[in-house]
Amino acid sequence: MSTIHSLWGNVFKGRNNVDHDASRLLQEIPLFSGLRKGELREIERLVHRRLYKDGEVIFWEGEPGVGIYIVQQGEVGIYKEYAKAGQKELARLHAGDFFGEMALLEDDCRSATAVALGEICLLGLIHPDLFDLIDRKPQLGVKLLSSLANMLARRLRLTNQDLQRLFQDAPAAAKHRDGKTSP
Amino acid sequence: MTQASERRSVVIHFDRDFLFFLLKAGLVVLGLAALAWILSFSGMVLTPLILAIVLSILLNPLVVMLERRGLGRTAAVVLVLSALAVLLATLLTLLAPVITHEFKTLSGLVQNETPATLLEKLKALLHQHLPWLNHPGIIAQITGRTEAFIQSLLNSGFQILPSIFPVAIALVLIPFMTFFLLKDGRRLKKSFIAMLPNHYFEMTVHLLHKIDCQLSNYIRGQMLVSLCIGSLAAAALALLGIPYFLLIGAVAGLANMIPYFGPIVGAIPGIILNVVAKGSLAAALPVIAAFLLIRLIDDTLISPNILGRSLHIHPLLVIIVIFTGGEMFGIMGLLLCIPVTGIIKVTIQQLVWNFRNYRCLRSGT
Repeated sequence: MSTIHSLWGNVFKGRNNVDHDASRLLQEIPLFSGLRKGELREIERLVHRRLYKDGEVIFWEGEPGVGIYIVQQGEVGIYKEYAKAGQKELARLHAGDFFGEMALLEDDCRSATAVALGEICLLGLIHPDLFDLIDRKPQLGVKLLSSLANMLARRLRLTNQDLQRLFQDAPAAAKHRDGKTSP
Repeated sequence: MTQASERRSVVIHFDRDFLFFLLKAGLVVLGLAALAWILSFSGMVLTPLILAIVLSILLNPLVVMLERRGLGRTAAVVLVLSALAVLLATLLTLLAPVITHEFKTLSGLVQNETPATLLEKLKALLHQHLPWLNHPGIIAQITGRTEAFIQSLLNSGFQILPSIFPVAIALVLIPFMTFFLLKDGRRLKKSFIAMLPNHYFEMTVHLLHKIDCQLSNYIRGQMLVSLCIGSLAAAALALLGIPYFLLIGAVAGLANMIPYFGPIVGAIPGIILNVVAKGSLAAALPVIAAFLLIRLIDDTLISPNILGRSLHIHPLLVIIVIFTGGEMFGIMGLLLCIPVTGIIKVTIQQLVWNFRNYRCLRSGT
């Protein structure tokens, strides 16, 4: 339908409500927070709007990733070992959250499975489009990449703090366990 | 666990979404094919469309360069196409006298000759240089075949006249189509992706990206190689004092796009024209030497540096594809058969890779 719309669409047509929603949503996402209106419109032109049904898998753990997804509407579950005996829910994401950002930077496989919880709408920004954008608009590309680097650095810092806490708690936990098991 | 149960069963999985997608894609492809079929009767739209696609791939880096300097996409496309039009107009104005002179001399040469006089000249040349061929049977056979060849050559020359009208239409259509392909190409691709079922979204995006990269690199590289070969051929022939060097250079450059046979086809007009103009078979030698040298430069310096081994198509397959393409679609088939084979090869390779890596194509894993 949209191909036909693209072919026959009026060149002078205005933007519809969905586009406005997407634009507002993009503005609220930390990854795009420092961008100007024109730059946001450029991102908006790149993103793919995808609708998923309840229980539909967005991507599987272990599959090659092509980009980042932003939740426009609904809820997404992130799982390890999805549909297997050891299934574990890692997170639940809501409107405005994003996931799969590592795929924007590296050609590696997805580290978890993402599943739609109810009917959802996602905005996908794919790796080839991002690099095409960096080629065409290097200034915008630098802003995006630096924002992505900031975000990953923040996550790394949080992971470090978690690890530190784990190391601090580990001897106490071991002592507690030993005390319990010793006769 | 038995060996049989350990063996992974691989079943291609078709769901309702995929069937819907196939139906939609099939309808779009059918619609486009029907349109192409109707239009291809006159050949007035399909050929300009293919040329516009090639041109848009060639011009895209320039548009991107302007976009990088802050220009909007539409403005960049308009600027690039206008610059191209000005460049072509300037080149035509500068080269028109030379090309007109070459065409006039060439047509004078052909018009002053009839198939019979050309045959007589050829017979005399053969008698002079290859006396062992002086057997009535061989002479009759050569005469018959050459007469038919010259007749068909002259006939095809006259057939060019009615084709001027489609050429005029193509000259209008090509810039128009190129403009929209450059301006809206990305939006069309996005719209196609929007039709895909969710299962196949990431996989198809990956596939399209690979095809796009390989095809664009191949076409840009091939055009650059052809430009180098055409310029080298024209320069070499000019240095040797061979007439019509610009025309022969252009033919050699274009023919170079056909692997293996192209360089030979490109050299033939130069050899024939020099032999006819100088009236001696020995006149073929400097042209052959020049083309051999160009071939050597191409094989050792130009192609490895520009094209690399971009498509990696086996020589045997190249030969089969060239003959099939030429037989089925004529000159366009000869020029396009290798890029099309490249697309098919990349698609198959990528599909196999996708099959191994994407779960939606497998079950029971």
